[in-house]
Amino acid sequence: MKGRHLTEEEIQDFLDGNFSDEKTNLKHHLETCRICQNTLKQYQSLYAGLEIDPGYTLSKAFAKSIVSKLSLEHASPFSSPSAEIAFIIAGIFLALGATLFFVDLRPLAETVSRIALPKAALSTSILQPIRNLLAGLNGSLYLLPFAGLALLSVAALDRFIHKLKHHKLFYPTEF
Amino acid sequence: MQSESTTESRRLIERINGDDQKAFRSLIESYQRLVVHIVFRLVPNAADREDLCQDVFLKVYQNLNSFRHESKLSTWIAKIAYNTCINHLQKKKVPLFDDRSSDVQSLEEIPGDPMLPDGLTEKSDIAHRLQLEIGRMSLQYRTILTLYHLDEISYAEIGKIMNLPEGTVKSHLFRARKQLRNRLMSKYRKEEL
Repeated sequence: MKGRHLTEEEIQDFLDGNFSDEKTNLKHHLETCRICQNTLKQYQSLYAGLEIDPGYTLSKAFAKSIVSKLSLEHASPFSSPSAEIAFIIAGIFLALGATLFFVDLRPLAETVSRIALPKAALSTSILQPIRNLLAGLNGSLYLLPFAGLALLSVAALDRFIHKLKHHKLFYPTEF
Repeated sequence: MQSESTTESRRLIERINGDDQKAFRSLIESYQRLVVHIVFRLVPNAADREDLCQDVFLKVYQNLNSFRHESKLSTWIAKIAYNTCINHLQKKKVPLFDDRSSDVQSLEEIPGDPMLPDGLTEKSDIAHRLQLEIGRMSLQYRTILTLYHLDEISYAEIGKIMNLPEGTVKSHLFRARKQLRNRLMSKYRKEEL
């Protein structure tokens, strides 16, 4: 027997196929040394054990279930809870815009203010700006595009937040 | 791990991006084994594993159009699987990088599912013990052993998946195998290993 015993790292390198050609004396030692051969045999058994598939299994319909889940997502892209809330908010905007456009709310506002505010307040000019605002809004065409724009903005914002939250922020896309 | 060509991957991805569900199903079938190995080895709770595998493939689908072929598709998918498991374990407050040899007592607590074949021979008992000991190792050692030995992934690719330098992967792999050998040696007579 010639030379020193192989280190465990060298034996692992040998089994991994990373043993350099320069180490011919160590290869020769391995062929003749019973101690190193014994360690090699133990590592060979360990490698064989590590390569045995542990038999982990998924349900048979695994691939099918993912594909059908994706089909459902395609069918209703706005079905997330946050999208629903966004649509409710946008709906309120639209309803408010349409109401202000079609209905003259000044008599209603004056009745409410008479009930809710003291007479002293009514006599002052506090309510005048509100009256002016309602008068200005009533019949103004720009309210409808404004409401539509609000609807689109909220929906787009929701989609953006949803995308950031679920995909782009937390998971890698490339190295 | 099956060999993959860039051209095949590109074609498959193009078909998936063109909404071809059969192509995506084919991708799942090709990479299911890899994802299952990672998820089952890293996640201790059996009830969570299939859901996590689903999550991985959904993320793959959702991010596929941003895959730029700068790495192998398998490496990219394995990285998503690895990160999904890490995020899940962090949410569950499972310590990630501790060796669990002292606190894990029962088979049920071990990640993976070391199935014993019919008829418990001494050899299968060693195989069983091996699975048990792997489950007791740190998350990094478990991942590296799984990717290298079960999926035949190179040091460099493992480094990309786990965000580690190639040298670190190699030294972790060496230490993990040495640790496994020592633990098994302490359980069995030397000749039996």
